Amino acid sequence: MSAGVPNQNGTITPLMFPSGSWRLMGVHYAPSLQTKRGVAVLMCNQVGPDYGEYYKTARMLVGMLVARGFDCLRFDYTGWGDSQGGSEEGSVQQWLADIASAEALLRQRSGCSKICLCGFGFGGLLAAAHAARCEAEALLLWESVVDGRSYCRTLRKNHSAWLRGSFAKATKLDKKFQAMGFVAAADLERQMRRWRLTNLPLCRAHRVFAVVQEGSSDQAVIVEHLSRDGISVKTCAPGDALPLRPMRTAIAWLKEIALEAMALEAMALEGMAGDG
Amino acid sequence: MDESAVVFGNQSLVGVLCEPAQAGAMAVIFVNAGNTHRCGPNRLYTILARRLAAKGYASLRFDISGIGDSPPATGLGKFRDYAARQVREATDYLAHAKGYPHVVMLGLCGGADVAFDGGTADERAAGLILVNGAFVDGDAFADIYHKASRKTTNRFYAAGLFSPRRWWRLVTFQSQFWKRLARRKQAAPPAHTACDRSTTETASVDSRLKWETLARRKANVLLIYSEGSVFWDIYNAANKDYLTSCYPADRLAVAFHKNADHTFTLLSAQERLAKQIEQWLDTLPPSHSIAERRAIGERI
Repeated sequence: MSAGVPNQNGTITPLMFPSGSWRLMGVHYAPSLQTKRGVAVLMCNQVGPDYGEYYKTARMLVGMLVARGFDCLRFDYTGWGDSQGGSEEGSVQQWLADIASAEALLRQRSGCSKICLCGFGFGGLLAAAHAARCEAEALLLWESVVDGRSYCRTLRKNHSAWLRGSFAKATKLDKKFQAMGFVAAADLERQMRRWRLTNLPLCRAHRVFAVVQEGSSDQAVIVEHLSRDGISVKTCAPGDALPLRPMRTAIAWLKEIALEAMALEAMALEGMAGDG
Repeated sequence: MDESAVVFGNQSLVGVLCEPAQAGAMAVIFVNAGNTHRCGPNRLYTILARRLAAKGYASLRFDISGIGDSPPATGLGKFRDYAARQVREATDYLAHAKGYPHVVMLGLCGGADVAFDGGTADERAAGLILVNGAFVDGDAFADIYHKASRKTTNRFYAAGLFSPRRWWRLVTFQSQFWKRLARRKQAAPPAHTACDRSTTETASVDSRLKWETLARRKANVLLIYSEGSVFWDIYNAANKDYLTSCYPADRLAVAFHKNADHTFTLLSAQERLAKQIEQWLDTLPPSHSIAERRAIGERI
């Protein structure tokens, strides 16, 4: 594990950490002690051909969050990015285990008890699934996939259209499911198709924020499925190529959570002092 | 094979060092492809790094300032200048911390141009693998690019002349040709589209000085172009004649990958690319043994 490197907003520490039998690549961004808010954000990246694009969005969001005092961990799932494993060795269950390992690491490194899961694309579906089994304070869904079946169908359709307009020609080697650089074994595609937001158990996170196209069917599914007593789902449109508006709105939403957490902690401390 | 996360250089650059079980003689530096982070487009750099490690080559893939996980580039000047400096810092890191006195620099697209700059400025670069690079400087690049992209489009449609499926899509208005035509009609014509011989030569003056430096240094160069890349047409327009006549033939290899797009998206294209790079690296003159490497590293 390499040492953390200080920069103007805090410390960046790239590291390799275990998840089952695999080693994953992650980068922990810690804010400076003066600005630290006590809430940490775990970035669950996209699984698909636009992984690189979402990586840039996630990195930009991380930069803004760290500057405002949030600990962040960005990591690659098994078989993705710099993490161990080939693209065929990943599975949805393994990716969920990866999120659990990353969450434990983030809690340990940041010392924060409040965790926000932030999922991009198919990573949103994974984050929502994980939020149903862990004690996450908040869930941030960024253009989340809500139905694995239609997502895989879209990937196949886009890949065919791309092939028609490209010099690339598929050969015997390309028989596996490929979508513009995203390679998945047949079994993995079957697994991904089975995942659907509406099939997930109720999310245990106390707050949900979704960056989703306003008026879309996805928005309706997210709001309907994730809303419950006392918990409302806040939404924001993704905006243009440079998604500054949803980022600022999401950060303001996270700041509110951090402020409430601090107020609750202060009240608990006062109570303890009173008891003493 | 062992992979570790590393931070190095004045700007705290983030990278992944991939080392084989049996340390080889040479290390490869992967330079960011455009603004894509260190894994490369379609995870190409990670895949190549692991394949090379299996062949005994160590490698470092890292993010230039402002890309991926490296801190933003504030006050560092022009991208091409600081990127080349940071490639040098990567070479320093491999030499000082890991004892690799010589490196091969590999870049795709914009990364090829940065690797070209970095390799020219550093005597420790024993070889360069430049994939779909432009190597054309100056304001004339836009003109050359415009003309070359028309040639690329023409090549694409020429290849479909004998395809009944493509004709069917054309006459039933399913072809993307119609969309492209509509876009072209809407787009304003470029201010200057002439690209005569003098424009091409003026644009390449800086590059040619760099090629001369590399030739003097006896650097081995592998140029790779894919059929779907506009940079193949730029190479033919701006660099082919000069390089084939002026660069030592025994040190320059040019490869053309048919049926491959600009970023080698399909598995089959990646496989062919990886094989070619492995074969080319094996032809390089053997570098120093591990003991010699460590001794040289200490001296450095």
